[in-house]
Amino acid sequence: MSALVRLEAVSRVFHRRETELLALDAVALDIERGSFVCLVGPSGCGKSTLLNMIAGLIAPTSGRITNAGTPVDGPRLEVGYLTQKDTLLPWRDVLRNVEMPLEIRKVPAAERERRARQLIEVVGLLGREHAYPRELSGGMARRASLARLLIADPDLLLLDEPFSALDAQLRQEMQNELLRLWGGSGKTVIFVTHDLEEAIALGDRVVVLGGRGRIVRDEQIPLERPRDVVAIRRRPEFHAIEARLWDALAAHYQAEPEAV
Amino acid sequence: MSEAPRRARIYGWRLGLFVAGIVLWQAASLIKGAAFYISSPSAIWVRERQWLADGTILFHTTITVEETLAGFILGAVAGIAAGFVIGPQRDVGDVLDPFIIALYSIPKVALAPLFIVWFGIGIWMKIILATVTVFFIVFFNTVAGVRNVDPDLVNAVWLMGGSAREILIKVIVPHALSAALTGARIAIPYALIGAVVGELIASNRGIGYLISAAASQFDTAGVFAALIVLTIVATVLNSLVNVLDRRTSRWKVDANLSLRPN
Repeated sequence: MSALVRLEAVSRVFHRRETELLALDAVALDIERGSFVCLVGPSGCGKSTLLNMIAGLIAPTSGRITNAGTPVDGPRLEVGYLTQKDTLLPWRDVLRNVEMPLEIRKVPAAERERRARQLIEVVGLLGREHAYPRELSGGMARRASLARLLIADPDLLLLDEPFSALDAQLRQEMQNELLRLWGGSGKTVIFVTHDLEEAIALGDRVVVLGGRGRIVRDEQIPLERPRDVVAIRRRPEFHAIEARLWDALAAHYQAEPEAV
Repeated sequence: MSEAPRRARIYGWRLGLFVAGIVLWQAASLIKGAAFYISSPSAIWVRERQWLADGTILFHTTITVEETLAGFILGAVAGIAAGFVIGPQRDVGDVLDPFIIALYSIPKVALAPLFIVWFGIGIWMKIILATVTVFFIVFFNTVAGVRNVDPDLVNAVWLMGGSAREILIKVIVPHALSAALTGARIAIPYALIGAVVGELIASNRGIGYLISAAASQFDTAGVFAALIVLTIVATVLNSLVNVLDRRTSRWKVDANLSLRPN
């Protein structure tokens, strides 16, 4: 398998008034095409910065990021980014929000609407097409965001703690939904979370990040697919992997308490 | 406890209070000399019916409503236009800020004599007074709308491949317009205040004129009769606002009354 996304010695410095903050320090990471990779780490470890750079929203201070062989220098149509916060436009109903990416691509209105309705059905929001974002529950808003993400048919999905605001039950439901939608699609997923269990249940590979994006542990998850995120958590292998990764995280915290 | 009987009781109490008030008023007016100051419900009723029959109410109400609506439309359009011009220019906005706040702080009624000099005592003086009142409210809200666009929404459209122009048209303009509409909604009653204050100061028509003309002749029944007409007009305008409110509340943004929001 070949790397779709490649990070080479990527660093990023943020300037806050007089002080300089090193958010990422020489991160090197390859993401294989078609894989589901989870990045786990404590808040402030630079995971979101990493995603923002892969998405092309911000540039690295030094180092190189390539996507499909070409340097990332801005947002790309073949990359979809689902942020932690919902960014549905409040003055558009669900249907018109989901249509938005196609509207920007100048897809004719009838075709746009047909595909949007199709995806609204896929994410289970049928009947809520004409609801406005503030009329949706947290879970429904996530589903609408997911539909808007998928309508553009991106090859690479960047998901930044997409389900962290949902309650446990809804989170599991959305996790299964995501796996179902991804399964067999051939799409590459980079999923950022601070929840180790979530990372193991979803990913082909879990990368544990420490302070400044340092890779503490990078492990393949040899659990078969298709998976059910609830059932898989009860498997002994799951617990073994979880214990191993926890130890790595914990050891890292003791070694570098300032990273927390 | 169920809601329906409670509501019925509330309406019952309101009716009772209203009737008691009228009766008390009527009784008080029988005291020697009191009718000069407080008139009486029966005298006001007679006056209302007389005014309705001879077209006085229709004539003066039409004038006031015309002034209110004209002032509202002019003020809202000017406020939105100015907000869209100044909103994106942070430096221009910061330079103008103290001047705009100073102008906004002037009680609008104090401008009336100046407007009489400029526009005469006709309908335009009232329209401009209402316009000025509405302008600032809509202007502040539009500026806030242009400036407070959630950067995450801008990024979202950028990530979809949207150009700067598309971000402007699909994110900034709708956000600013919804803020402007919120401002316009709360400005409607202020337009009425502007128009009536103008009429009170100098006029020969309109509900404000009706009030001041009656008062200058010590015609208390006329003053009260005109006040009741004004109350009805204000209530109708307010319920209009409520209807607008319900229609836009599905995505409206919060109101704002300063150039430097939050």
